[in-house]
Parts: sequence; C-alpha cells; structure tokens
Amino acid sequence: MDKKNGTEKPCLSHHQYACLIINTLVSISAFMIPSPTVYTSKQYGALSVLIGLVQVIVIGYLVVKLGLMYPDKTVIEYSQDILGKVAGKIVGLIFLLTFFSVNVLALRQFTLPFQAFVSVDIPYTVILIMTMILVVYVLAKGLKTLSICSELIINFLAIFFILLMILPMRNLDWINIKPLVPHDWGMTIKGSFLSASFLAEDIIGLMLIPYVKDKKKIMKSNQLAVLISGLCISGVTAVEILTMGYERVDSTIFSTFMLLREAQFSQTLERLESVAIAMWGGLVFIKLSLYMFILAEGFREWLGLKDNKKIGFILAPIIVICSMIPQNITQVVRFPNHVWVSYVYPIVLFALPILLLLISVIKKRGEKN
Amino acid sequence: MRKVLAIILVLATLLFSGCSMPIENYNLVLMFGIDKDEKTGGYEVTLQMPKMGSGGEQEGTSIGNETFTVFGVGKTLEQAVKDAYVKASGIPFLQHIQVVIIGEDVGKEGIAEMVDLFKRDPKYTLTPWLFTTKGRAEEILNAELEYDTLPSFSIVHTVTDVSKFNPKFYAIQFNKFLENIEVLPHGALMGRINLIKENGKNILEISGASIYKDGKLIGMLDDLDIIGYNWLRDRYKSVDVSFPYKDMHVNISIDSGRTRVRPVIRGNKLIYRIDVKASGSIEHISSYPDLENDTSLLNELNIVTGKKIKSYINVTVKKAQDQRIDYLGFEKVLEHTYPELWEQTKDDWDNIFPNIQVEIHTNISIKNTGWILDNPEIY
Repeated sequence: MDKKNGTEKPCLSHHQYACLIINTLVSISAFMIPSPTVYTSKQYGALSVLIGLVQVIVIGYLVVKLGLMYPDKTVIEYSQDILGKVAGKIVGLIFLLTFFSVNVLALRQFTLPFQAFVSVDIPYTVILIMTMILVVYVLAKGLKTLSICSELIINFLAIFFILLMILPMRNLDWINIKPLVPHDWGMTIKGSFLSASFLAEDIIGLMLIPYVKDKKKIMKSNQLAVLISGLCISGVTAVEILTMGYERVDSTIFSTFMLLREAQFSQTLERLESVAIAMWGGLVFIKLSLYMFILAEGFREWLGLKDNKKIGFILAPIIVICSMIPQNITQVVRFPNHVWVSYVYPIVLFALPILLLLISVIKKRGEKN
Repeated sequence: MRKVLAIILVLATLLFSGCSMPIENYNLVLMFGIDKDEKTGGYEVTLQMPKMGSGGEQEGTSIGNETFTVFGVGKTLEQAVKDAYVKASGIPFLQHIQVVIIGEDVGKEGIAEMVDLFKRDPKYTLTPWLFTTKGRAEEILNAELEYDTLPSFSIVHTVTDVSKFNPKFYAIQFNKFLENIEVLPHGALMGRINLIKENGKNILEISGASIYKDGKLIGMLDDLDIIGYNWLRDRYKSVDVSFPYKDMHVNISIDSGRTRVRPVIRGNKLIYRIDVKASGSIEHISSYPDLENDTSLLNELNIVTGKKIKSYINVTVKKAQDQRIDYLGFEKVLEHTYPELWEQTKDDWDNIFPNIQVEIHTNISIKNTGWILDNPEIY
C-alpha cells in the first residue's frame, strides 16, 4: 500500500468514517429521494423514509458485523476467504459493478442541476470531464485527504439543513401532511423500499472498515451516521410535502431545488436554489471521489495489483463514457427508481451481505469446533 | 510546483467565474402581462421593466419609479417572450417577476401553457403574485400611473401589507396557486385587478377574486363575496367588522383569531363544521354606551359580531355551492381528514359539494375598548 498518499490501513478516525457515510447517503438522496418516495406514499412520504431508515439500520448492523469479522480486509478480499476463490471473485465483482454503476449515475446526475439552474450553455460532457479530473486528483491525494474534505463539507451541510427548514416557513400548510397515521400502510411501506435502497448505500462500509483506526467505535459511528442521514431526508421530505403538497412534490424531478426556488425570506431574499447548487456540488463531488477510491482500491485487490492510482486513471474515462450512455433525463432518473429498488437493493445491498455473514459465522463456528 | 499550481487555481477562479453576461445587459422584468393575440390566435406578452438610473440617482445603477414596456407576439407563450427580447434594450431577466397579469381572454381559454412554462423553465420565477383582469393585461402595464414607486412594488405592497387590514380582495402567489389548482380537480381562486379612472387619473383597483376551474377562468367574485372566503381560509389579521346595533353603528377591529374547517360524519351524512374563534377590540361606536357599567353590552356585541362573520361565510359558501365549484378547499380538507371517504367521493365531488350542509360556529371575544372606556357626550 502506498503510504505517501494517506491511504494506509488504518487512516480514518471513527468520526471521519461517520462523515463519509453521511456525505454518501445524504448527497444525492436529499435532492432525489423525496419525489419518487412521495409518488408512491403520497402525504406519508416522510413516514416512508423513516420506515426505510429502520430497514437500513438493520442492514447497517449486518454490514458492520460482517466487516468486523475481517477487520483488516475489504469485502473484495474476504469474500474469497468465505466463499472460495472463484465464487468470492464473482461476489467481489458484483459489489464492484454495483459501486461502478453508482459512480456512473452519480456523475451524470451531478451535471443535471448545473445545466438546469446555472448555465445551459456548458455541454454536460465538459462538466463530466472536468469533474472526473478533479476526482482523480483527489484519488491521488488519498483517503485521508478526502475524509478531511468530507468533515469540512458536513459543517456546511448542517447549516444547509437548518436553512432548508427555516426558509420555506411562511409557505407551510399543515393540512398537507395530514393524517399523520396512514390509512394505507401498503403504499407507505412500498415507498419505504425506495428510500431504503438509497440509504442502504452504507454497504460501502464493507470497503471502508479496514481503514478505520478504532474498530470498537465503528458500529456506533455507522448507525449514528445512518440515523442522522435518514432523519435529515425524512425532515426534508416532510418540509417539501408541507410546502408544496404531495401532488407537486411527486411531479418534480429535483423537488429540493424547487423548494428553494419558491422560498422567500422576508420580501427580498428569493431564488435561493443557488445555495442548494453549492451544497450539491460539494456533497456529490465528495461522494464521487469516495466511490472512485472504493473502485480503484477494489479493482486493485480483485486483480491483485499494487497501485490503485493507475486503475483510477483507467477507470476515469470509462466512467465518463458510461455516464454519457443515458440519452435523456428520463433515463437518468428512471434507472435508480426501477432497477435499483427492484434488483440491486434486495439482492446486492440486502441479501449478499446477509449471505456472507451467515456463511462466515457458520464457517467460524465449524473452525472452533 | 505547489505554489505554481495554487497561483494557476487562483487565477482560474478569478478569470473563469462570474456571470456569463454583465448585469447591465439585462432588463429586470417586474410585471408580466399575457393576452391573446387576435391576429395569430397565439399570445401577446407585455413586459414591464424599470428604467435604470431614472430616479435622479447615479445612472445605470438604481431603479427609479419610471418604467417602460415591450411586447412580443407568438404562437406559443415562450415564442412571444422571445419576440419581446428583440424589442428590449437588454435581455429581459425573468427570475424576479413580481406580478403576472392575465388578460380575460387568455384566462377563459386556459392558463395551462403558462403554468407549464413557468414550472418547467427555471428562468421564470415561481413566486409572482397572480391576477386576472377584466379586459386586456397590456392596458394595465401600459397605463400611466401616479405612484411614487414602481407599479409592481405598489401591488406587492397592497397584497402583502394592506391585505391584513382589508378583506375585500384575495391575492395569491404562483406557487400557492399551483398547489390549489393542481392538487385536486376543483376550483381555485386568483387575484383580480382592474384599471379604473378616478378624477381623470388611472388607478389600479385590486378587489374580489377570479375563479379558475380546470385551468380556465370561469367567473369572478366581487369584493363582498370574498370577505367570507378570507374568513373561511384564516386570511385575516387586522380586519374590521362593522354593523348596526340598536341605534348605534359599531366597528370592531379583529386582532387575532383562527378558523377551523373540518368535515364531520353525522349518521351517514357529511357535514362541514366551521369554527371561528377571534378576538378584537372596539374601534368605534357611534353613540355613548355605558361600557363600564353595562356588562351585558360587550357580550351582546360579541354575539352580533359573530353573527356578522357567520353571514359573510354563509354568503361565500352559498355562492360556491350555487356555482357548483369547490374553490373553498373542502375537498382537500376531506382528503386529509378522511382519506378513505375521500377516495369514495372524489369522482362525484362536483355533485356532492353543492348539497353539503355547513355549520358555522363563532366565538368572538371583544377584549378591549380602545384607549377609552366610556365616551363623554359631545354637546
């Protein structure tokens, strides 16, 4: 491992680990979860996110339990220990492809608000390439640098959420969120799977646990990070429903941007979506960089190579090209809402970690006996 | 190497950031009028913009009270806006439109295109105040008005500040109008503005409201019809209730209060219960009652004030039921109170709404008699 770039195992404090998890879970979700969740759950959208949060706390528990059974290895390495070389390689590849698809989609989604709200003149390919150059630069600097950036961004995120709660105050209409107890639990629970599928991205813990110094505090940090992220997203969803009514939230792609587009503070401060753009830029950039690190490091381990930077240089153009595949905004939005919830969440984010945990527990008991 | 990189980054930040066009190249659009273009069957858009530096201040940097208008025509609304672009001295900047005025002809034909455009395209704002005018919007935007400020700011001042004292008009911002018109297929109200002449001077009169259903203007409410609506929807803060009482004329100023509308199922019948709880003070009595010793008088005034408010609401409810359009928001209240019942009734709401029984209960409390208790007679 290259120790110069600050990615030696372990290099993260449990606080930095929590910041990275919050950053990853909140970055895109805070802007993109409310609309599809509310589409399914109507006025119970915020409750759906909370039910999804419970699911993710269970997943988080399993993920950390599994990771702590092999505290010095990533899932790419220990899946081969658990399942054997061939099956382990396949499982490792499934995880890597999942992380790859997240990175590709996140990169493409990253460009959307810039094009819609900032400047329509800049071709999205320019934004894709410029962003990826910066991401590769961060990869070269290492995980430690990335975690410090994340710690910094989280402070702004806290301010952003406070603003998000305060700015639309004068537009709140409490009847929009009533009744508080759902009359149809079916649609509320159905909506929870969508938010859970986004929040279940905390399985990146399977790749990050070896880099955390104090392993005893990982469980607490992970669950706290998931809890904070889920509560934030539920809060944002509630404010959006209260402000716009569920019918308007579900018909809007970036409902959080819309919330700030409408927000007026006194009679002079308006069109505040630029605040959200700045936050989006910082958060998603950190997420992209973290996923690039996970991918580069994961493929290095999977291929048995020494240097992850070269892999990053190869991956970067591939990710940019793949992110150009969706023809339009509908395809960019539809993929996570359909494929992610129906296949990736139940199989990769839920079933695979449980399967690995079960087999490793059985194996370890067998070894003891 | 690091220093060189840092210098390059700082220079890049300075050189490559900022607006893509200098701010002087834009004209700030404050009022936006939409009419039907009779020649093409499309739209005629009128944009009112302030003359920069016309207030005697430093040229180009301040807004005076003088305005200029440009217009554009096109088959679609966006084409009409783009047509107006070439007539303005700069590029019309649409992100801070304060007031949108819709001509009667466009209102009747439907505002779906305008709603779609404003929502879809972020170059428009979602918070302008919306009004329908009897006649053409361009007449209002081109009228010479004697305000000491820009007409758009004057309108915004009226709807935000004066509305607290005067319940005879209704005004709504675009985003909240969307909530009403898109949420359920019932009606929604929009503000109403007209250009009138008084003593040879042009005056903008904001009064009553306009009624929209399925995105189309289908009628207007007069200033007296809208008072009950403002009471019903909790849109009062410092309004007056005046009425004759015995041989006096009484004016009560309502300081605070709350109206609660809730559906109640009694037997198999859906009834709407409206509770108004408000408190206020006596602002004027045209006689010399003994408020200090006649303790029953305040109680009687409470009851009479309540009856007056009840009559306002009754007029509004009856009008809506006669028109068979639920712009009162009854369906929304039902949806969020009894969602299962709403599921059963939503398709037939236009037939159910006119026959709904409404119960109005008022609880008024006059807490103050102003700065005097009894008024000594003036001889």
